[in-house]
Amino acid sequence: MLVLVRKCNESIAIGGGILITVLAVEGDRVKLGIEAPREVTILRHELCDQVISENRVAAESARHVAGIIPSLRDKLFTRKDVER
Amino acid sequence: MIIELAVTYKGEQTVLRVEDDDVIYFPQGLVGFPEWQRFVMLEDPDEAPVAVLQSVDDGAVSFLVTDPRCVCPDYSPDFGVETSAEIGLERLTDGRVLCILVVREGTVRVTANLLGPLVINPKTGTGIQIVLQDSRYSAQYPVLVAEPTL
Repeated sequence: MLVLVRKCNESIAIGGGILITVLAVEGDRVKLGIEAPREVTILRHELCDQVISENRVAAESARHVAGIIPSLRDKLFTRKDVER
Repeated sequence: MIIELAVTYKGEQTVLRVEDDDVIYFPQGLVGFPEWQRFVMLEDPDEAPVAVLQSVDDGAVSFLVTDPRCVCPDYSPDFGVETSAEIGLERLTDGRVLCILVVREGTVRVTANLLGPLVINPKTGTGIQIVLQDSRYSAQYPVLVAEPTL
């Protein structure tokens, strides 16, 4: 990991056209401004981690749990409700 | 071309035979799992709206999926233009949106991952998993919680 120390209003340039600027530091929170090409995805990393974790659990259990489908269907809204 | 795949489907070991044309291709795989790129949808009308998204790359990998509006009727995330572009959709409404239903093995607790929906272009047979930018929607939206048995 490359570690840099930046002050407010200083920036980091990454790769092709990505610029990260420290906009403000408030206590233990840092406000960052990110400029990047449209096709570059920018995510809060913890959201990504949540999705990865759910993918992992789901993949491991789906083949064991087909028996749950009838109970599950009772809990789901039907297409008719949805298309109203 | 027919692909034969050994899978565990509905709790039983079986050999699935699928048409190459039915394969849905996720060029980036799923989030965190770029190796899972090829899937087929297994839809049993008796189980609708739940379906199984079966990996063609790994017979042991499958997902229970459904239309997220069957879980959360006013589900309306802001996907952003990049999503449609990634899989060649002119309008997001031309695509099919699914969410993965997550069952915790050993418990009767089912949640829906509304934070990481799948978007499929039915015309091109390509798909992508999106991590939504806003955390309005939960990765563990409750669907079914075990009733204690007496």
